[in-house]
Amino acid sequence: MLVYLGKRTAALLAIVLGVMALVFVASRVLPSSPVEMALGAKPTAQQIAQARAELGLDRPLPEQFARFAWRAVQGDLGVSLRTGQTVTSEILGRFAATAELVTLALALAVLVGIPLGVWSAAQRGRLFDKASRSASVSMLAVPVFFLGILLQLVFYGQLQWLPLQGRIDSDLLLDAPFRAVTGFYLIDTLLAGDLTAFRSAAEHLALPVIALAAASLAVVMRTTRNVMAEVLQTDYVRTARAYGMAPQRLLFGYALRAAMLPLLTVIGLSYGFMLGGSVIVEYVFDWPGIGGYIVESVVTNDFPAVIGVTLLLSSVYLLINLVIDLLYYAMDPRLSL
Amino acid sequence: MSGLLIEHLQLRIGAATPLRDCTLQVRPGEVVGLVGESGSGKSLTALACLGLLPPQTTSSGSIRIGATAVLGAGEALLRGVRGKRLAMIFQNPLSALNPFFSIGRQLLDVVGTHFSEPRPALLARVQRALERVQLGATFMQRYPHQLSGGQLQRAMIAMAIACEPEVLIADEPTTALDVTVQARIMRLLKELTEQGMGLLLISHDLALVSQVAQRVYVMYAGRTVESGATRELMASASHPYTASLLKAQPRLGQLQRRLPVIEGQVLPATDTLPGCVFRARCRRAVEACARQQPPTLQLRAGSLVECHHPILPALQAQELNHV
Amino acid sequence: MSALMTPTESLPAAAPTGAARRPSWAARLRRHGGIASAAGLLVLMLLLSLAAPWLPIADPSAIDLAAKLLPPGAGHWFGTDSLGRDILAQVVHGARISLLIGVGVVLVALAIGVPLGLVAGYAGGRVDSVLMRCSDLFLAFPPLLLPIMLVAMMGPGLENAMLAVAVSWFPWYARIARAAAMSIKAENYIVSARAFGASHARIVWRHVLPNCTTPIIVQASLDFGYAILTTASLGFIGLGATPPTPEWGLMISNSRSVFLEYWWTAAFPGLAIFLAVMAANLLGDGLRDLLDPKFEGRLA
Repeated sequence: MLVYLGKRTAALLAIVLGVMALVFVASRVLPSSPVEMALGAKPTAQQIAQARAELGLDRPLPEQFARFAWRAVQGDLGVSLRTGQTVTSEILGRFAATAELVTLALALAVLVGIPLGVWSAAQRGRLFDKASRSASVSMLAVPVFFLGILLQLVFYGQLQWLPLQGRIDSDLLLDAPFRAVTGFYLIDTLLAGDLTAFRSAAEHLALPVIALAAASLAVVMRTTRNVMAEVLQTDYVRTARAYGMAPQRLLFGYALRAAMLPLLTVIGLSYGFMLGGSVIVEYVFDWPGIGGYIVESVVTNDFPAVIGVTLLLSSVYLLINLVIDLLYYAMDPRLSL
Repeated sequence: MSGLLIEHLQLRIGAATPLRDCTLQVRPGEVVGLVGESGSGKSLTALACLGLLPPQTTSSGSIRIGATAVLGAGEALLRGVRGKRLAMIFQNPLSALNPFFSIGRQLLDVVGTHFSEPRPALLARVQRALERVQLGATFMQRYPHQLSGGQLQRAMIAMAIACEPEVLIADEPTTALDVTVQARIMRLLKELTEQGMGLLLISHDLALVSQVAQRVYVMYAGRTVESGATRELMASASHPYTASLLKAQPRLGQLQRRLPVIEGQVLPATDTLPGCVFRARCRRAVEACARQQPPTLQLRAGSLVECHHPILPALQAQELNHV
Repeated sequence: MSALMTPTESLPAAAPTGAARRPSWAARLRRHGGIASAAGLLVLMLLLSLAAPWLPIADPSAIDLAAKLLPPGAGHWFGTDSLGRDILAQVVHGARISLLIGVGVVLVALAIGVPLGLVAGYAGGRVDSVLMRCSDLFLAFPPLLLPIMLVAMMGPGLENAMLAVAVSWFPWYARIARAAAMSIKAENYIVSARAFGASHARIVWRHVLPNCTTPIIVQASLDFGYAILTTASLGFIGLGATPPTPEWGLMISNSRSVFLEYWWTAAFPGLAIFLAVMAANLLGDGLRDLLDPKFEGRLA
């Protein structure tokens, strides 16, 4: 197991390096002027010359890359052209907001998608199964941003049940701010005992979480259903039935365990999908997270920020994949023993 | 009355009748063999006893374990029967065990389903069962993929006897195993019946069955065409099919230029023509065989045969050679 | 064979063992009402969109501030947007753009990925390793992130967005082509073709390539819908189509300031995206059921 961990970690580092190389190459090849890219709009000729020397743009490419990679690994992702702060500090300040959103969305997709999929497989061919499959096919055709807008239209515009955007009522932050311990508003408000703020945070979370989770929920449900349908046909499930195991136990305690492996892969993919989808959702709901930051940065040509966020999110994604791989290895007795 | 009793069991799936008429009985402590080629319906019979048939199956006849009627019973009743009163082991033990749980865990699950005792008591039952099949306590933590074929089948047998059922159904238990392991498993199964458990041994291998079974039923095309005490059946079969099976077994020490075969193919399950199911392949077929269902005759005490033209005891010797 | 025996036809599965016969093409097509209607819907949209300039609908870029934000009704079936442009006209013209996007993205991804995969799979060894490692790098990004970064560097615009998305997706096609190449490489008829003097290029073209057309078609038809979705998403955040292109994602983006009171400005373009992607997905699923033998049993 440790050997496997070692190998996979080494592979991970290699890929991260590869990703940095790709990003670096793109940043030198694509824009017409890499210098302007680093300086922002309309620099003077003197600034350009100065920057060229400073940024080492007159050095050979491999050397430039080495400096870039070395700095990135140490956490120095450059300075945001728009705000003047370091990209790293900007990201850190927004990290919790995105993490809270993505974690809750993933939990929703998994905790609702898996039971629905299991039930659908058990009801194979019958009404519930057909209905759930149609629903999941439809869900995958709706763009995330449109779903967000529809949710806003219905739940804010028409029904006025839920707020339009943001993380929490801004008044609450001004009047009686609670202490940010984890950065997760739901947890922090509870820790501070501030129930009004908790409710506000929850209300603000509802729509973005649903919008982000919807497509993944559909995929999780569909995959669970397909894998479970296969598992339910196996000889060992037949054995369990032949020995009188109760159906609930059989489905969730026994068959589901065998289905976990492919599900793990889907969950990992969903996480990645949500990292990308959070960009859209945060833009729609004006959520102060990393996704929103990257959109603002792109629109204002803040390239260091764009590159920094891309590198970070990719690394997180790769790390998640590594964890999934390890879990996969650990959960299959045929591999780990 | 105890033990397993199947009477005139018929199974239909769509346009097919894979089981046309099966009648057999397993008394406590008795080893009964059920022999037939693939497609004869023997495995379906076993599944029917546990209520594990595909949902579109219609059935008629009766299956009883002890005084309890199983055919057509509700799920709750069936769950009480499965494993506890009637247990089954399957042909391929590796695929029949869940690869993600240890052997011990799977055994505990089974006893836990049927006995609401505290955990130490359940553990004791599992350990006893493992002992009886000569697997040590270390096998509790092992996973199926770590065991050999013989060990896996023992583990399955342990699962089957852990709840002390009245009858154990073994569906081709040694077909997937090495010949050397076969003998040991068969011996084990026989020993287990010495404490009063009945055994229904299903196989295509008449010779194997004849080594342990006291009585044998022969199935063809979904019908039990002959039954009787093993020794008598092996010495002088009455049904032409049984005789052909015996003849088709190669014997050591005998030179045979051509191996005798039973020509033709198994009757398809969708066939609905009248007459005997074996008529197309039978060398003794007479006119009545194509017209009418053969009667069930009792040529000797304790043996039955369905035939218009059975091989009578006096003619056995010549007939066997002829067929 | 005994003369008394009646010949047996192929039987439906009666006992637990026994495989069902593969139904004929006609039977399978009939069972797929879904693929037929999906294909029909797509064809309809395609025809409508191609015929757009000649249909009796308004000019999508005609600004008429006096008629702004009108609800759906006579004269403007889908209403008008904040500049008074007819939404129905924009949606129909947008269909043409979206369909072109779908086809374009997939074709470019194919054009990059398939040759790469064929070379990698056929050549094997070091070449294979290097090529696949490089292409797998593109898969290391969460979805959308790579296109966003690339468009940020290239500058916004529909062509750039399409190129960025295609570049992010080519590894999938590379993998398919590579798998086909690897499985064919060892076949006897390849060896004999080489013995008869066929060059590598000829072998790849004549033998390997036809072998991967089926999985590629399946993947392409599934990707068609996602291409539309992804490009619309890019358009929504301002990285795709630029005004005044009537691209559906851009239309929804434009409506953000008014959609709460004037729902039709967002609803109709969104509905159009949904229908187009849904039809494409159904078509893709159906094609996969038809063409991929492994999925045969999954129909029930």
